[in-house]
Formats: sequence, C-alpha cells, structure tokens
Amino acid sequence: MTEDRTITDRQTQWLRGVLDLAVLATLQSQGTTYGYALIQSLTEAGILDLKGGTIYPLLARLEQEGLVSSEWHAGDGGPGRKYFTITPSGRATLANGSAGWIDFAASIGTILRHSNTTGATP
Amino acid sequence: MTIRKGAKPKLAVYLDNLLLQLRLREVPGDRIGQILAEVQTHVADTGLDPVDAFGEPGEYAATYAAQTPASRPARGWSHVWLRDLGVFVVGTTACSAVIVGVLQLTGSVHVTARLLGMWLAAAAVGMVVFHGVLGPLMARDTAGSLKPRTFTSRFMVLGGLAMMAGVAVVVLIGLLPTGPTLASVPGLGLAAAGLLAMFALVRHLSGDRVVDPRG
Repeated sequence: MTEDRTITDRQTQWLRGVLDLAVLATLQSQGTTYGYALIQSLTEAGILDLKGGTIYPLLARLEQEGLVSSEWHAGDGGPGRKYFTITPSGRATLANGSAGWIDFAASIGTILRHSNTTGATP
Repeated sequence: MTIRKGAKPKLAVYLDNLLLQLRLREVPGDRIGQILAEVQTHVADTGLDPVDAFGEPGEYAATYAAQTPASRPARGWSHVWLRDLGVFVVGTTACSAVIVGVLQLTGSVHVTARLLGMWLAAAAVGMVVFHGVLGPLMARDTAGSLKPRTFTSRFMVLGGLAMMAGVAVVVLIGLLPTGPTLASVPGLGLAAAGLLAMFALVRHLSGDRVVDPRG
C-alpha cells in the first residue's frame, strides 16, 4: 500500500514536467476539444487522477503562450463549452519537447536498467 | 456580469467565493469571467463537487494569480505608495470638496487656508497609519501568511479614511478660528469638481468588469 502510494507520488512529480506535452499531443491527435473531454482522453491513456483544477490553469498558460487557441461554443441544451485547438506554434513546441522527453526518458531508462543488471551487493 | 448559477447551491457559493478570491488577487475581470464559466461547465459535465474538482476557492484563485501578469505584485513599494496616495488624495479631496462646496453655496461656511492645511496633514497621517498598520493586517490571506497587498483591500481602507476625513472637515470647520478666506473659490465650482473627481474615480475602479464569455 505504501509502495503504491510512493509510485503514485512519483508519477505526480514526473507528470508536472511533461503534462503540457501530453495535453498538446492529445490536442494534436484529437483536434479541437474541450476540457473535460481532454481529461477523459488523458485518463484513458493512463494519466490518472487528473482534475479540473490542474488542467484548466495549464490550458490557460498554454493559451497565454500562444500554443493553443480557444473559443466558446454554445452547448446542446447545456451550458456553452470552451474548445481548445493546438496552434502551429504549439505543434512546433510539441515536436521539440517530445524529442527532448524521449531522449531524456531513454537516458534515465538506460541508467535504471544498468543498475538492475549490475545491482551487485558490496 | 450575470453568471448563470446551477441548481446546486454549493456551486453558487463556490462561484461567489472564487469570484471574491480572484478579485482580491487582482486577476483581470475578463479572465475571471472565463474561469467562472469553466468551473460551472466542468461541474455540470462531471457532476463533481467543485471543491473536489478544483480545490478550495482561495487555492484555485492563487493558481491563476501566479500566472496572470497583471495580478503579480511586480511593482515596487514606491509605485504602490504613489498609487495609494493618488487614490486617497482624489477620493478624500472629492468628498471634502462636495461637502465644503455645498456649505459654501448655502453661505454657512468659509473655507480657510489653515483648514486645508490641517486636512492635508491628516491625510498624510492617514497614509502612514494605513500602510504601517492596516495594510499588513488586511493583506493576510486565508492561510494566514502575508501576501502582497491588493488594490481592493487598500481601497476599502482608503474609502473608510476618505469618509472619516470628510466628517473631520465638517467638524473642524466649527472649531477653527477664521483665517484668510478662499472666497475666490466659488462653492459651485468646488462641488462640481468634487463630483466629477468622484465620478472619474468610481468609473476607473469599476472599469474592470467580469464578463461571462458565453454571452
């Protein structure tokens, strides 16, 4: 139980540095979508426990940086929704960031695998 | 603005508290409208408790304040002091001008140079008291830690001081010996200038309206 908790805490820390890329990637693959649908997609992809209090401020920051654009559309009988779209600048950032993350993750993977195979006790 | 409130009273209370917390952190009005609408839509979509989905209103507002340039306390103390002083002087002068102007029109009082001097001294003392004592007390956030002072909280204090100064002017009029009169200042002009200044101040302070992006 404690070990599971530690893993979840670690994932939260890892996610902090890469959630923006995951959001941009989801927007690129899905096209225009709204906040709750984005959370559902990320949850289905394995990013658990994402909350509105995390995703909307992140989307606001990405919009401030010009990486996504947004527009409000009226809903069918319900309240209007804010739809987000990745911009060309967002696509470029995603391409660069993805390459950097993949290289970084590969380096860490190599280190961890090396420690597993040479994990001799003194 | 009209934020459409859902049937759940809890959401309505949450939106009210969030609006207040965002205002206290000087997040721009148009941005506040977007944030409130997002919360309302998300809660309608998910059926979640707003606190579970977004955290306490103060915490959620702080997230936006941290990323909104206009809400950051980036300005130096001298700027804050000058801005406060400007608002205080305009507000207090406007209140006093209206009162004294009307009294002059009715012929019941002569404004004296000494009286004006005393009022300015009182205003200066008020600024020191405000910054030194009241400002830090009002700047405490819900967690109890000191936060940068907000214009809203400052203005609440300034408004109170301005009203007290206006009352003080009226009281002092009856106590001071008559000095050189400012009879050349027509009471009507004084009252009109005061009203104009108050109108401009109110308009300036209420310019940043919260607008629902859904129309």
